[in-house]
Amino acid sequence: MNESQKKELDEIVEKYRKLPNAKIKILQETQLKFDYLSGESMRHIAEALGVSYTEIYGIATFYSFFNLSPPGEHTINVCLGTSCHVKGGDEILEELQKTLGVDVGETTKDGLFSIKTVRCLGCCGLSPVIDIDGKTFGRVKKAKVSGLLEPYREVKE
Amino acid sequence: MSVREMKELEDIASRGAKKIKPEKPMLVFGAGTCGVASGCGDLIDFAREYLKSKGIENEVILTSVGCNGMCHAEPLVDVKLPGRVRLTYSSVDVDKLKRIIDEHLLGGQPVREFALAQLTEDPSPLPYGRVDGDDPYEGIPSYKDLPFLAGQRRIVLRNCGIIDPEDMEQYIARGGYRAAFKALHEMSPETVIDEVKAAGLRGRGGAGFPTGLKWELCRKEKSDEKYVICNADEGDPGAYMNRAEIEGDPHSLIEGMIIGAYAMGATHGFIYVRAEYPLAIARLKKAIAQASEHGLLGKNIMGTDFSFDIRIVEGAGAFVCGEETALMASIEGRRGEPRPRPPFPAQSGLWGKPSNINNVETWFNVPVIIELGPKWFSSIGREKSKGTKVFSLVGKINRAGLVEIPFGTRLKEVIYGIGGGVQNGKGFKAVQTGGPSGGCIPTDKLDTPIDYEGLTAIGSILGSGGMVVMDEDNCMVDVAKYFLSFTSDESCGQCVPCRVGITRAKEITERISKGMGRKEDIALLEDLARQINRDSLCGLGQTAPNPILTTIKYFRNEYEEHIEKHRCEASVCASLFSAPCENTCPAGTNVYGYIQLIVEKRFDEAYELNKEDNPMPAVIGRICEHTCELRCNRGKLDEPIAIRELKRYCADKTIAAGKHATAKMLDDVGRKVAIIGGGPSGLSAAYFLRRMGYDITVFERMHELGGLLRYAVPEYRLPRSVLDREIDDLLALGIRAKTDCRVGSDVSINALINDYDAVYVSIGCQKNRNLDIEGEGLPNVYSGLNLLERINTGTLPDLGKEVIVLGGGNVAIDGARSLRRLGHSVTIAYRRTEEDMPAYKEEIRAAKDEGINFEFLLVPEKIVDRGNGTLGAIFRKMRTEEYRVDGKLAITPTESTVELKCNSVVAAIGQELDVSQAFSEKNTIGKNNLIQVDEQQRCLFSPKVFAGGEAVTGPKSAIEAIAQGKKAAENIDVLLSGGERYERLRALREEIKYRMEEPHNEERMKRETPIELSVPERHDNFREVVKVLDDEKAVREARRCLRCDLAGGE
Amino acid sequence: MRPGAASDAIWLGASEMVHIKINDRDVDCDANLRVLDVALKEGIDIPTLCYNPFLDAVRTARCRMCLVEIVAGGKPGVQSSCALPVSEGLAVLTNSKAVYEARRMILELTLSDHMLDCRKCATSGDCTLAELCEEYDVDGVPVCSECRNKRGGCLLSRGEMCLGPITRDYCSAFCTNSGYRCGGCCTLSSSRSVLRYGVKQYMDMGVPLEEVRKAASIFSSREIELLDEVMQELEGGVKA
Repeated sequence: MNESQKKELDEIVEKYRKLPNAKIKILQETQLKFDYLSGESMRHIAEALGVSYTEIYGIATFYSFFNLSPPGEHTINVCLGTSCHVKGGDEILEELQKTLGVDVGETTKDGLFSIKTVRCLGCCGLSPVIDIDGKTFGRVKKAKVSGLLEPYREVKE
Repeated sequence: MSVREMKELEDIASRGAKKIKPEKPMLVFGAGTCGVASGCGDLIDFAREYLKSKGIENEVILTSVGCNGMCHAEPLVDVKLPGRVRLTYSSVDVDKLKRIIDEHLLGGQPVREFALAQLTEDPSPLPYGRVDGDDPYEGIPSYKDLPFLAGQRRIVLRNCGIIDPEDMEQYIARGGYRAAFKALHEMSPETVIDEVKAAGLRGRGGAGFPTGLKWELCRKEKSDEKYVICNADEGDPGAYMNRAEIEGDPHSLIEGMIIGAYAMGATHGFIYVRAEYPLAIARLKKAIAQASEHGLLGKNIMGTDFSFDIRIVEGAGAFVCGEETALMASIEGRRGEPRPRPPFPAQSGLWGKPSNINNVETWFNVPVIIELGPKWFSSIGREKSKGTKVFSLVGKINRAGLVEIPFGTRLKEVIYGIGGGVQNGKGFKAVQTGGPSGGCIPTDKLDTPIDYEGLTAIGSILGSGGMVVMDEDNCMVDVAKYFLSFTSDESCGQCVPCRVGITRAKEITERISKGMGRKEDIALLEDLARQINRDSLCGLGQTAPNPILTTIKYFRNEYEEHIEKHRCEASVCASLFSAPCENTCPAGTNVYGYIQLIVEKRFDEAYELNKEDNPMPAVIGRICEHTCELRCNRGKLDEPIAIRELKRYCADKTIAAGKHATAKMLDDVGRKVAIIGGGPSGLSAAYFLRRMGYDITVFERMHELGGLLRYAVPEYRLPRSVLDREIDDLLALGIRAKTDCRVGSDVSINALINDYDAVYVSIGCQKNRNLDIEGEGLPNVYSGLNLLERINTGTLPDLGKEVIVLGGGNVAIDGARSLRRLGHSVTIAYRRTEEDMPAYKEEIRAAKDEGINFEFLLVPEKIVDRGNGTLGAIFRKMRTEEYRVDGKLAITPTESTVELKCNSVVAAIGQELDVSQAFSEKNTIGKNNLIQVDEQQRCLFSPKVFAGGEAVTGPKSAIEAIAQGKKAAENIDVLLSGGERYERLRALREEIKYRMEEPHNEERMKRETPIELSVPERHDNFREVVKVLDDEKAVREARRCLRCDLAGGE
Repeated sequence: MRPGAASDAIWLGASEMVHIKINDRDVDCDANLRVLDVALKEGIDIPTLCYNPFLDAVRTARCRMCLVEIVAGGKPGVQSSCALPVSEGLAVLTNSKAVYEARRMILELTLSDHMLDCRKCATSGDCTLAELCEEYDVDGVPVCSECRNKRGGCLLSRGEMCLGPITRDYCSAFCTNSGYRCGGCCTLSSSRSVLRYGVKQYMDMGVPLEEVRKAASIFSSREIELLDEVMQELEGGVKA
C-alpha cells in the first residue's frame, strides 16, 4: 500500500467511523475502492479504529461479500439458488469453468474474469441466472455462455 | 415542504393521479430487476431514440414501474392512451416495440397479436388513484381473465407494476400516507396495536408470530430509545418477493414502519437489505429522501410531536443474518452470529435496547389494515392466518412469477391454476416451500390449503414465500444434498449440532448420491436430523434438517434405489449412470454406443449393439414412447437427439441390405423354459434366455406371435413385414413356438411346471374394460382391441359410415385413424379435456390432421338403437372443476345431455388383465386385479413360475414390456445357473467397440425430422406414415450426440 | 461497543431474587444469574466444554454440552444453561432423557470432527472430552487417550504391536500404563473415525496391516468387519 492509498483508506475510516455499523461499512467501502481487502489494509483499519486485527479479519471472513484476494477485471456471479439449481445452474457453472479454465473463487491468467457463486440473486423467475459486473442475465443456456462473455473480452483488446 | 394537514396530502395526491392517468399517451416499462435482466433497458433506449427520430419525444411520456409479478412474460410494456384503459404487451422486443409505438401509441389501434391483457379492474383494495374506469378495448382479455391472475388477490402488491416507484406523488395518489396520517393524528399507539392485533396479522418472514402481540411486548418495555427494524435480508434461495416489493413500491414499507414505530414508541428505524439487491437499495434511498423532504420522516412528522428516522444497512452476505439476533449483531457492525433467546429483542435487542423486527411484507400490510380496518383485513384468509401472502412461484413451472393469494388457497390451485403446471409437459414431482428451512411436498399433498399451520403439518413451512417446483428430472437425494451443502456453508459455526451435525448429514447424502450409501443411512439421517433440530442454537440449525426429513418421508423409495440399486432414476447423480438416455430407457439400451456407430457409418454393428439390449429395434424404433429423448442433455442446448429415428434408421438400413444381426450366443445348457404369451415381453424373455443357452418354447393362443404388436398396432405405424422380420430372426436362434395353443385349456399350467425347469407368464392385458352402460350389448358396439384385431386380421364387419370412438388413449386413436383410412367418418368422444388425453401427443395431432373429429367432456350414458342401422349415443355433458392433485382438471356432470348419431360405437376406454385367462392357482391375482409377483418376479404359488409384462404392471409401453422380459430372463437365470450365464451374456455386450472421443459439437444444430406422408397420401391405405431418415440426415443427426457417457463420468 | 455487549444488558438491572427449580430442588437466587451459575453453586453437575467463568462474552452457548430441559417457565425444549437467564417460576431438568440423548449426540459429533491422536495432545490424559465420553458411554475414545506413555514412551513407536489406537477404553489403559502392549481385550472401537485415525497411525509407522488385523481378531472376531472396511478404504486411498 502506498501513501496515497493509505490516505484514501484513512478518509474512508474517518467518513464512516461514527456510523453504528462502522466496521462493516468501512470494509464495504474499502472493497469498493480497492476491489479487495488486503491484509495490510485490514491491519490499517484495525489500527485506525483501535480494535484488534482479528476482529476486523473475523468480520471480513464471515460475510461472503468480501474478497480477500484481488478479483479479475470482470466478476461473474453464478446464482446457485434453489430455482437455479433445479434448472441447471450447476451446469452453467461447469460450462463457465470449462470455458475460462478456472475454478470458483479464482481469476483467469489474463486477469480478465473471476468466477464467484452466490446463494440467490433474487431473479428466480428467470432461472438460471448469472450476473456479470452487476448486470443480470436471465434464462442462460449452456450454449450461450461463451457468447455472453464476448463483449467483456472485446473491451480489453 | 412539509405535509402537516390532510389537505396538503390530497394536493399531492391529485398531482400524482395526473401522472397515473396523464393527458398525453404514455409508454410504461416494467423495470424491476427481472425486467432489466430481460432487456427492458435496451427497450427504453430504443423507444427514446425512436421517438426522438420522429421528433415527438415531448408528446409522449415514458415511465418505468416495478415488477407486477409476471416474470414469465417479461419484458412487459404497457400503453396508456388518454381516456383508454391501460394495456399490457408481453415478451416485447425491439421489433415488437416499434410496431406498438407506431400502431398503438401513435395510431390508437392496439397490436392485438402481442397484447397480453388490459387493466380493466384495478387490483388495489383502496379507492384512491385508481387506474381503471377508462374505455376498454374490445376483444382483448382483461387482467382478471388471465389464469395467472385469476386466483390472486393483491393487497401487498397493489401498487407494484402500476406506479412509478421513484415518484412519491404517485404513491400518495394511490392513498399513500393516509394511514400514517390517520394513525398519528387520530389514533393512540394502543389503538394502533389493538387494530393490528384484531386484524390477525402474523409475521410474514416465516415463523408467523402475531405482529400485534410482538408490538405490544415492545411497547410495554420502558426505555429511552427503541428501534424498529425491517428484515429485508431475503436469504432463502428461490425467494424474491421482498426484492420485488421494495423495487415496486418502497413507500409502502416506509409508511408501515412509521406506523409501527409510532405504536411502539420507537425513534429510529433500520432497514437491513441484502447488498445483492442494488436496485432495491437505490429506490429505498430515494424514497426515504423524498419522505424526509416532505416531513413524513424526521422530526415532528406530519406536524405531530412524533419523530422517527430510517437508516438503510446493507447486508454483506450471510444467510444466518435472517435470524433476528444475528441480524442485530450485523447492524451493530459485528459478525452476524445469533445468540440464545431469552432475552428476546423486545426486551434487549439492538445495543441492548428494546427492538422489534418485522419482515418487509409484514410492514407492507400495516397501512392497509389501518386504512380499511381490522374487520376488512380479517375477512380474508383462514381462521388462524389472515390476509394474503406473496409467493415466488419458480422452478420448472410454466408461468413463473410473484403470486399473491389469500391464505387458504390450495397448493394445487397455485401450481396448476396460476402457474399453469410443469414446464415441457413433464411430470410434477415436488414443490419446495420455505427454502433451506422448508420441505419438499409431494403430489398427494397438493390438496393442502396454504397457511402457517397447514404447511407445518405436512413437514414443511410457509417460510418467507419461496415456492420452487420440481419435476421428474429432479432427484430428491440431490435436493436434500443441495440444501445441506447450502446450510453447512451458511452455518455460522458457533454451535456443535449445526456446524458438525449438518456437515455429517451432508456427507451421508453425498455418499448416497455416489452409490456408496449404506442400508442404515436412512435411519441415521433421520436420527441426526431430529437431534440437530432439537439441540441447535438458532433457527438456522433447528430447521436445516427439514429438507432431509421431508424428502425421506415422501421420497424414501428414491433413497432406497440409490442405496440398494445404485440407481438415480432422475439421471442427476452423475456417479450412478453413464448417460441419461441409457439410464432412462427401461431396457437400458446403449444409446450413445449405437449413435456413435452411426457416426462411424458402421450401421450393421449399430443394429447389433442395439440388439444386445432389445430384441426388436426396428419395431421399437417406430412405436417407442421414447422417454429417453425427454431426458437428453442435448435438449438443454437446443433440441434432444432424435433417438427413436436413429434406432429405426440403423435397423432399417441393415434389414434393407438383406443382412441379419448376428446375435452372440452361449453354449447350450440343456435346461428348458416355457414362456406363456408371445407378445413383446414373452419374446424378449425368450430371446435373452435362448442366447444364454436355454431351450425355449413359447406358447401363444393366437395364430401368430407378436401379441398386441401384431393384433393392435395398425399397419401404418408398424408394417407387418418389419414385425415378421424381427420375429423370424428370433425364431432363427432356435426358439420353438406353439401357436394356437391356450395354456389352461390346451395344456395345463401344472404340466408346464412339471415338464420345464422354469415358466414365464406374460399374457398381457387383453381384455377391454367394459362401459357398464345400457346398450353396450347392441350389435355394432365394439371394443377397441377387438376392433383393431379385426382390422389387422381382415375380418372387419360392416360398421356403416359414421363411427364414434369412446376413449382418449392410444388404442382409441389407433382405432379412429384406422377406420378413417377405411373410409369411415370418425368422432372421438373423450370424457376429459384434450390436455388430459393419455395418448401420445404426436398421434393426437396426426388424427386431427387426418380429419378425425374430437368431442371433449362427454361421458357415455346410454346407447340406443334408433332403427335403420342408426345408433344414438347419449352422453352426459361434463364441466371442469378445480384441479386435482395430479394436475388434471376434475370433472363433474352437468344437467344437460347430448345425443350423437352414428352407425357404430367403439369403446376403447382401457384394458385389463383377463382374469379368467390366468390360472386358478392360489394367490395368482393381487388386489389390483393383476398377477402378483415378488421382487424377483416370482409368482407366489410356485418358485419356478415367473411373471412379467402388462399382466403384472398393467397397460404400459412396448419397451417397458421388453424390459420386463429381459429382467425375467435374468431372474430365471439366477434360479437356473446362479446368474452366471447372464453375467457372461452381458460381458459380450462390451465386444462391440466404438470411438471414445469427446465430440466437441456444442454449436447449435437443428434436430433432423423424418419425412411423413402428406395427409392426402394417407387416404384409403395403410402405408407407413413416417419414413426413415435418409443417410445424410441420419449421420448428421448422430453427430449431434454429446456423448454424455464420456463427459459426465468422474 | 465490545462483542457480547448486547447480552450484557441483563447484568445491569437491579438485583432481585427469583425462585427457580432445578430437578427436584427449589432454589432462590439472584435474578441476574444464569441457570448454569446457580446449578454450580448448588453443587448440581452440568458438564461443559466451552464454559469459562472469566470470559463472560463467550456465553453464547457454543458447545451445547450444558443443555438443560425447560419444563416450566419458558419455551419447552432444551436450552444451553450457560446462557439461560433465571426467571421466576423457571423449572429445568439437568438429567432428563432428552438431555442425556442430546449430550451423547453432541459428544459423538464433536468426536467426529476431532483429531483423535491423543498421544500428541497437550492435555496429556487430563481430558474433559475423554471423561465425558466415558460418562455418557460414547464409544469414541481409544485406549491411547488414557495411556501415560504417549510422549516418547509410546509402545507402538518402540516397535511393539500395540492395539491401543483402535481398542475401546474400558480399562483405564491398565496394560499400557504398566508398560505392556494393549492386546485389545476390550474389543475394537465401534467408531469409524477412531478406527480410521488408528489405522492411519499404523500406516504412518509402517506397521503391516495384516498383523494388526490378526492381533485384533483374537478378541474382536465379531467387530473385525468394520476394521476391514476401514483398512480397505485407507489402503485404497493410498494406492489411488
